Amino acid sequence: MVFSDLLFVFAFFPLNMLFYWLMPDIPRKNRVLLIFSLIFYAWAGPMYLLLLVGMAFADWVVALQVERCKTRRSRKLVLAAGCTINLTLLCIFKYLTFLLENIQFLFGVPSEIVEITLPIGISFYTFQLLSYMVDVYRSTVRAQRKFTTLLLYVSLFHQCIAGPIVRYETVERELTSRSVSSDDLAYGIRRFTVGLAKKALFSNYCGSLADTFLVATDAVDGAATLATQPALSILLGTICYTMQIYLDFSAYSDMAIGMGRMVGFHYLENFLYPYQSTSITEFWRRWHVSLSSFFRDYLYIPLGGSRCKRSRIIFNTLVVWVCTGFWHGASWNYMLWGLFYFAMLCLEKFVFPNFTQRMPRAVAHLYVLLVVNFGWMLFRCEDLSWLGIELKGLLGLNGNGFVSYETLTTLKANFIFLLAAALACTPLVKRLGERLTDLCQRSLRLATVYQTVLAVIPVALTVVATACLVGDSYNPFLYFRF
Amino acid sequence: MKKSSNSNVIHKKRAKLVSVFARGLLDLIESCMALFGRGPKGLERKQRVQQKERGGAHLTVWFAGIFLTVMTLLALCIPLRPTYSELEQRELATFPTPTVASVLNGEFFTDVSSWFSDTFPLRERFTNLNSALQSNFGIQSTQIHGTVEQGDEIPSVTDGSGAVSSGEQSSTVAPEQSSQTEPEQEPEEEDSVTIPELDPDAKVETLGALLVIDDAGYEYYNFSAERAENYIKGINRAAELLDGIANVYSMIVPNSMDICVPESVRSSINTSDQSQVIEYFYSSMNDNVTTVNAFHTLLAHNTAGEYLYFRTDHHWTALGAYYAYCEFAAAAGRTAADLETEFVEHVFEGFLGSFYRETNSSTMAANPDTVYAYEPVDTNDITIHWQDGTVSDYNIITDVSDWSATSKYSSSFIGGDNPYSVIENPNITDGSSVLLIKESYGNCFAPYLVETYQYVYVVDFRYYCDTESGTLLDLVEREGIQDVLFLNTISTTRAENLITQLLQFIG
Repeated sequence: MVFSDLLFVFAFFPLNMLFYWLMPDIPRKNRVLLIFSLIFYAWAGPMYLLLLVGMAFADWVVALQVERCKTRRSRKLVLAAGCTINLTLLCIFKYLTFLLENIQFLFGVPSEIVEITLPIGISFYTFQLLSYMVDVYRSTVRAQRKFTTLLLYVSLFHQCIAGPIVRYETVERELTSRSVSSDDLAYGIRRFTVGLAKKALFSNYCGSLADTFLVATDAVDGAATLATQPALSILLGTICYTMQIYLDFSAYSDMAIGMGRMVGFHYLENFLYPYQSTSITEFWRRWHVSLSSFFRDYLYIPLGGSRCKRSRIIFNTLVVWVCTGFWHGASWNYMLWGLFYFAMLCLEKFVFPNFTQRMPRAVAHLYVLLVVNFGWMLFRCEDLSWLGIELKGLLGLNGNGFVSYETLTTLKANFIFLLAAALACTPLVKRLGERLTDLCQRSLRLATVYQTVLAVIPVALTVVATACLVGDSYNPFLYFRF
Repeated sequence: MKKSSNSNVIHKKRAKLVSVFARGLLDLIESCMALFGRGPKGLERKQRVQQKERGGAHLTVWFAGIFLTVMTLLALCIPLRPTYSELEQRELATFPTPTVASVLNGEFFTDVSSWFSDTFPLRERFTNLNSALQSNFGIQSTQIHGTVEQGDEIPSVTDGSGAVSSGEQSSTVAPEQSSQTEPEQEPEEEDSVTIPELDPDAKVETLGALLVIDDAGYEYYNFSAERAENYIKGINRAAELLDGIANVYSMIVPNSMDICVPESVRSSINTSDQSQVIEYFYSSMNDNVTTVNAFHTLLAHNTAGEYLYFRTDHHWTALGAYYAYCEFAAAAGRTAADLETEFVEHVFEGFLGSFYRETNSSTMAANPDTVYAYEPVDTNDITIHWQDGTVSDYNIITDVSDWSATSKYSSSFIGGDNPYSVIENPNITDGSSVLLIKESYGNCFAPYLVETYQYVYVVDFRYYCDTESGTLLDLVEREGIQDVLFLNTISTTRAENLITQLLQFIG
């Protein structure tokens, strides 16, 4: 089940809230959340629930042991054992098939490759557990005594399958004591419905436009059709995909943050309008914050961070970006995507330090968007031959010219939508809302009108999202690879 | 003077009424918010604004809560759920039956999710809202639906020396594609036709990409050299089998893209030139196939403003079929029956066809097509072998005035698509007979043959082999058929599955 399933919106979630609301105290409320979370996770295949519960159990034991150990050395050993268990399982389920395929390609053995289905969300919850164990080791947090509470932290359906990677530290206190005000509820409702509409209306439609301009990656003879697209079509396709991936990903974070707030959890923001950055370094401070801060705190800094020789810094950065690349999927294009960002960041940091600051802001914006757009082209093409066709097509080398009637028609027929989607990627709407709030505070009557409109918006957004989701077959979940 | 002051007064009164009403509404909401906000009275203004915001939060929660409750109750009302979609003409998903395997691998749960959203209550209303929304996405109403595929280069007619050479047609697409789809039976004898495996899951008829201009759709046609070759081989094989037994005619009907779309638009879009393609097909057919070209007569009559193709459906109209029939009659050396004296016209309004189903366009819905049907004066009786294997008498033209908007074409002519049908004209006694081998384009064509031949046999090659035994030759010999006409839309000649079925029937 994903948040943009109607079954989730109109059955699972309301029932969850009803039972949650009926329970008198936090322990029983937590029990409701846990049961619903396990059902939610089991929906994708009950067998993998065992894996989730098993890993949570192992790490629960490990964390308690870490705390009990007296010497630094033994603490380290236990932690290492815990991390090994997690990373091994992650590697088996996520990377084994890929590894074997490559070995087979190089050496011809083994002759048959086991097909392992990727357990949904494994990359997210493994990282949550890792951060928990390391934080216990670093004494940033106390180990959780109750297994069910730890299991709730890991499996909580708000963030279990598509992020954000919530640190244990962030919710430690709220797991056992939290309260919800009507402001929290209202904020949560607004945030969730905004996310839902972002996903159902903007992201899905951007995705289908990307498939129209760029050819769906699973289309029959897709590569051949792609080679017949004119340059403008490919350019528009990559732009649509760039918008889709932000809108989709940030929509899931919006929904997670919204649902968390409705029951009293305060998750940290995960996307800070990354497309308005003026440098790649800034882009990565704004894009998927919970992931980049995870790699910063648990990989980059332990490796020595930036307080060492330049060659060592470059090495540390390389390790982080190789891992970031592979975290997004077991395929070479994700690796390339990570390496691409490694190269771009090195360029900004070492070769031309701060060169984006010397540019006019508009040029810097454009530069970031171009780099990011190219990055997403790498990200989309699991079949790297597609990338070659796309690049050639962008330069008009496939012999199809710059525009075609079909491309212009589709562009015109979706022009307003594309503008709206582009606006949805910027903080403009949010700023406008803040401005209106200030403005409406000047008069009581205006405030009444404004509050009424604010109350109607979530309902309207849900109706629109439902209209997009009913009977519509195109509702992809992009993170099965993560 | 008096009049204008009068209207002024009315205006003022109306404005006052509106403002009173608005104030009342605001007061109502304010008191609601005060009720939910439960704040003490007589506070400072700033505090009161804050209190208002608190009240606003309550209002948001109440609105959302009530809405979610209502929607959830609605969603859980199983009897309210639709089971059939008129628009998409399909049965909606049913609730899955759990098995141990499907529960363990999660398939059952995925199916429950798709059942839930596919059969959501008020489905049509929501999908209509969605298409209304999408109709505002652009700055023009012309649209492209689906992915336009690049057609292969059409070999020039002078190259084709009767027989088709295989594999040489240069394709403009990437070389790896042609190596993938190259037929395995490469070095085969010219006249042997290997029937490829039929893909049982493939849809019988799928629409290609569509160009939608206002309330009219046009289907893209992309020439496929490899499939064209298979189609030509099939027709040539039929002619060879029937050599000396019956006359074989072939007609390939263009679709509306090349007839109705103005040349200025058509020349700039990525669709294969159908006139050229038809020429190529005909030039590649053996000499014992009589080819009938309806392209030019259709083009001429369309220029004259006649209604030859539906705007909301991929079929031609019965009028379009009539002009093609005249060409066929001329080729077969017979006099074409007169449309006005030998047929009775029926008019069925409000037809919305496949283009509408594909696009769910509100512009099309507002301006539906009309089905004109022409009933032969001599008889309206037809014996149909239905898809379920039963045989019964039916009408050549059925009154579909009361049928649903989306089924008017498929239901009004010769009972729709059926494996095998026979019509006998009681007023002709010359023993003449014709076999029409067709897909749905032939449905509105068949009635005209009734006024020309004593016996009309109609075969839908897509279903014939499912219910009837034997192939083309068996049928022609059994019934002693004189003329055999293959009538297909040009779209059929690039549909792999349809060609496979045609080859199966030819045997």
